[in-house]
Amino acid sequence: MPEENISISCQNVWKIFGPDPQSIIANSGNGSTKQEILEQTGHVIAVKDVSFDIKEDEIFVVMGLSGSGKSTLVRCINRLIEPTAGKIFLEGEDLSLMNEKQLRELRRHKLSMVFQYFGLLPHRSVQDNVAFGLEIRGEHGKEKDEKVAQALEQVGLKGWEKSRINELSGGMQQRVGLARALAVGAEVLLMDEPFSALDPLIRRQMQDEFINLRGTVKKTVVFITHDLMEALKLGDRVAIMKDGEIVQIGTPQEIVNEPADEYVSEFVKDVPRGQVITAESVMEEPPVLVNSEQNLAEVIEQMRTAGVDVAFITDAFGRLRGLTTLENAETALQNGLSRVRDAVQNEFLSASPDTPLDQCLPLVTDDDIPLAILDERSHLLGVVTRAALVQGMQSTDGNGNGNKNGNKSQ
Amino acid sequence: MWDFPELNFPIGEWVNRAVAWLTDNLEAFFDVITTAIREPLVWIKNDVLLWLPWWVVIIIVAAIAWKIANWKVALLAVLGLFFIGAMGRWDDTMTTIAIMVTSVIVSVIIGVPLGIISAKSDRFEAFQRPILDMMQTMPAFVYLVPAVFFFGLGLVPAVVATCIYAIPPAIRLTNLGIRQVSPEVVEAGRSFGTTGMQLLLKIQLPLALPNIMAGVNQTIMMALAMVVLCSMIGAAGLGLEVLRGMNNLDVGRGFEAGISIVIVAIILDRITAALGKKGTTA
Amino acid sequence: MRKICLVLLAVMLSLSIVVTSCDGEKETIKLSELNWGSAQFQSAVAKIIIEEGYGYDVELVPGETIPLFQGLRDGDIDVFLEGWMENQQEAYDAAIAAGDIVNLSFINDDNWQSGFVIPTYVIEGDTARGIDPMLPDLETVDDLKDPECVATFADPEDPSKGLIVNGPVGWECEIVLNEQVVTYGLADYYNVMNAGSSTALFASLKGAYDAGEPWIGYLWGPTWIAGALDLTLVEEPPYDEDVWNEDHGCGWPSVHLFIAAHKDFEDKAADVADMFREWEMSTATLDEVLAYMQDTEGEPIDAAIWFLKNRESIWTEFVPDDIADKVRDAVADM
Repeated sequence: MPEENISISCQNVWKIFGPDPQSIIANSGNGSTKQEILEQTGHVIAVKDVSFDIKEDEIFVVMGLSGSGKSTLVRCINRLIEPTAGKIFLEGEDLSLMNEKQLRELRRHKLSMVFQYFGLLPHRSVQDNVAFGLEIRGEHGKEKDEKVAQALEQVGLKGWEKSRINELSGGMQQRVGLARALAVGAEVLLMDEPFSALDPLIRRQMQDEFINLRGTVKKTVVFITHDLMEALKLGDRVAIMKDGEIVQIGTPQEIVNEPADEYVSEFVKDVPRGQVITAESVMEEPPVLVNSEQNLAEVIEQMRTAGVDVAFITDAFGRLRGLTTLENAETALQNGLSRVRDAVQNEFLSASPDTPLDQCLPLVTDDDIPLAILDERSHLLGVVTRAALVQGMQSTDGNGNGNKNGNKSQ
Repeated sequence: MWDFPELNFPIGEWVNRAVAWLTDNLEAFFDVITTAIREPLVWIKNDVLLWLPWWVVIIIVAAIAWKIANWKVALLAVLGLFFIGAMGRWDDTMTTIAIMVTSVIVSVIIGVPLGIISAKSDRFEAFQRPILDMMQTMPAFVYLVPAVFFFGLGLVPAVVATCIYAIPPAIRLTNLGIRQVSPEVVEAGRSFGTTGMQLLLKIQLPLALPNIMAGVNQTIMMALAMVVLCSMIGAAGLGLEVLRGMNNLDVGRGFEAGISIVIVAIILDRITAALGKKGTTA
Repeated sequence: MRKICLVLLAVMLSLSIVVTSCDGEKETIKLSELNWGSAQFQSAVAKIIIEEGYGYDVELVPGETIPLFQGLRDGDIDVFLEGWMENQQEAYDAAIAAGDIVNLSFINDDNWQSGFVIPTYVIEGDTARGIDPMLPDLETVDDLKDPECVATFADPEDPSKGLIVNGPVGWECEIVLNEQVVTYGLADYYNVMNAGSSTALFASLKGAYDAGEPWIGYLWGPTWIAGALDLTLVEEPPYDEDVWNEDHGCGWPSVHLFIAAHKDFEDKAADVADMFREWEMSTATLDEVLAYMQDTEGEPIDAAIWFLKNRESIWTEFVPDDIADKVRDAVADM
C-alpha cells in the first residue's frame, strides 16, 4: 500500500486501444515492440505497464515526445480514459473501483485539469469560465464569487473578469484555464502540456509565474510536456516516457547526470547543463574550515598541509563569517596577530545549493577563491571551485557527487 | 427481352394497406396530434396575429428584429410588412406566418432532441440518415394525401407536411453542431465532473447554438418553400393566393402573394441568421 | 472497336432517318390531358384510336384547364377535351368569338350535377358499418342552418361554426359555391375551406368516409369517387337561369362537356376532326370506367385499352369501320 505522504500512486497501469486489449497484456512477455504489435494485431499500446508514486506537493513531470503515451497516462489518472489494467490510487483510494457517481465527486473536488488548448467556453466571460467547476458542483452566491476572485487574483487576471475569452491572448487564456482549475481547490492539478501552445517568450514567462505561484499554493502537480527544458525547469522529479513506457524517473539532475539509457542520453545531450545542474551537485567539502577564534598559526599550518590558499571561517554559531587567504594569514601573523578573526576577510561571494551553474560562473571568475554554498542560515554546505564548475558544465558521464540516490527507472 | 420482367413487387399495395391500417387503428393517436397542433396554431393565428392591430404586429416584429439583429433589419421589417399590408395581403400573410411559426416550433421540438440523440449515438445517426434523406427527397405530394387522410384538410396537415420536410435540417444541424464542439472543451467539462445533462446544457448546446440556429433558419426557409404546396391541401394564406393566381392565370395576383412570401422569408432569414451569429460571440 | 462503333452509329442514323421519313407523312397531333380522371381516360382513348387507326403520332399535354385552354387558343394544342362549358363559359365564349377555336362536339347531355354532397350514411346511417344516422332530417340547404347540423359538421379550427369543404382553388365552381353559401344564408353558420386541389378534396372526402365521419362539401361528376362512394346531394332550388345569373341561388345547371379544336386543326387532320364530331360518352359510361380505373389502380391508358376491348359498341359508333378494324387489331395485342 502507498505510504502516507504519497499522493498519487500508479501501479502497473496499461492502456491499449483495440478490439481485445487484454490479450495484448497477456502476451506482453514475448518482447514484441509497439510497432510490431500494431502491425500484427491492430492494437495500439498507449501506456505500457507504468508504475510510479507521486509525493504530496510534488511537481511530477511526465516528459515524452508525441505518441509516447503521456497524455493518455494523465487522462488515466482522472479516468477521462479508462485504463485497461493496473491500479491508480489517490491518497490510498483505488480510483479504478469508483463508480460513475464517485468518479464525478472525485473530479469535482480532488482532481482538476488544465488543457493544452485551454478547453475554455467561448460563450462565457472570464469569470464565468473560472466559475465553471464550482457551478458544476452546485456552488453559487458569494462564496463562489470569492473563490473565483481569489483564483483570478492568483493568476494575475484581476480586472479581466468581464472580458470575453476570444479577446484574450493565448497566455491570458491559459491563465483562465489555470484559474478555473485552482478555483475548485483540488489537491491535485493535472496539467496536460499547458504551455505548449504558447509562444516561446510567453511560455517562459508562464513557467516562471507558475514557479512563483507554487510558492503560495501548495498542490500536487502532474505536469505533462514534450519540452525537456520545461520538464527540468519545473519538475521536482521527471519521468521520461517512450513508446508508452517510463524509461527513467529522477530529479532533473539525475536525468541529466545519469541518463538511464541511450534514449535519455540522446535527449539530454543538448541540454544546457549550466541551467540544470545546480551548485549542490558539484560542490565539495571546504578543505579548511576553521572557527574564528582559532590560532592563526595552526590555520596556516592546516592550509599548507591541505595545499590550498583559502580557509573558510565560521563564527561561534557555525555561520560563515568570511575567509582568509594564505597570504593574508601570513601577513597578519608577521604583524603579530594571533587569532583567525584578525585576518578574516568579511567580503566573500556565496550562492545557495540550488543555484544553477550558469549563475555560479560569474561568481568564481575573479581568482581562485571558491564559491561558498550556504543554506538559509548561512551555514557552509560546501564550496564550488572553478575547476569543478567547468567540469560540471561539460561533463556527460555524470561525475556529480553529493547527490541523494534518486529513483532509477525500472 | 427488352422489357423489364414483370415481377409484381407490390410495394405500392403494402403502402396502401399500411395507410388503411393506420387510418383504422391509430385514429385516436392522430386526433391527439391534430389537437396538439391545431390549438396553438389557431391561437397564434386568431388570438395573436389577426387579433392584434396591424401596426402593433409591425412594431413587435420590428422590435424583435432590432433586438436580435440591427436597426436595418428592423427597418426592412417595417417597410416589408407595410408593403404587404398595402397590397391587401395582410390577413393571408398572418395566416402563413402562423403556419410557419407553428411548423418551426414543432420541428424544433422534435428535431433538436433527435439531433442530440444522433450526436450521442453513432448507431442512431446511421439509422436516421436514410430516413431524413427520404423525408427531404420524397416529393411532398406523396405524403400530402395521406396527411389529409390522417389529419383532415387545412392548417393541421399543412403543418405536418411542412414538418416532414423541415425537421431534417433541424436534426442534421443539431447533430453536426454538437459533434463539432471541440473535443477538448467536452473533455474539460468532463474533467470537472459534469453529469451528462450538465455537459449537454452548459457546454454542448451553447456551443452548438450557431449550428442549431442555422438549422432553424433552414427550417424556416423550407417551411416557406412548402407554403404553396400546402395550399393544395387547403391551407389558407399566401400559398392559396399563389395557387389561385396560377389557376386563374392571374399573374398579378400570384405575384402579389409570391412577393409577400419573399418579404416574409427575407425578414425571418435576417432575424434568425443574426440569432445564429449572436450565439457564436455571446 | 472504333470501327464497330462507327458502323453502329451509321446504322442507327440511317434507321432514324427511315423512321422520321415514315412519320413525316403525317403530323403530330397534340391532345390536352386535363388533370382529372374522365378527361385523362378520354384523351387516352383518343390517342390510341388516332395513332392506331389514323396513323398520326399523338402527344398528350398534361395540365390544368386554364393553361391548356390558353394553349388551345394559341395553337400549342390541337384538340382540347373534355372542357366543362359552364365552368369556363367566359373563356370559351371569348375564344369562339375571336375565332381561335371551333367546337367539335358535346360529349353527352346527361351530366351528373355539381353541388353540396354528403355521405349517405349521414342521413340514413349504415348498419353494416355500425354507423347510426346523424342527421335523418337533413334534406335541403335550408336544413343546414339547424344547430344540430352545424354541430355535426363542426369546423375543428372554429367549433362555433360548421365547415363546408370547397372545390379546387381557382375553379369556377369554387367561386360559385362561395357565393351560394352567402345567398343561402349559410355564411353565418359555416366556414368554407378550400380543398386546394381535387386530390385533396377527394382525400378529405375519402378519409372522412372511411372513418364514418360527417362531411359536407362540393363535388362534381363524373368522378371515380362519385361512383365509388354512396353519396347524396343536398337539395337546392332547381336551376333557373335568371336566379343563377343573379346570385347563383339555385342548383347547378347541367354541365356540357365539350371537345374543342384549334381553328387550323381541320386543315391538319380533317379525318380526326370528323371522328371527334361524332364522339359521345355517357356519364354512366364514364363513371363505370372511372370506377374500373380506381379498382384496378390502373393508368388512364389501361382503362382505355380495357374500354376499347370491352365496350366496342360504344366507340365503333363514332369511328369508321375501316379505322375501327385497325384499332381492334392493335388493341388485341395490347
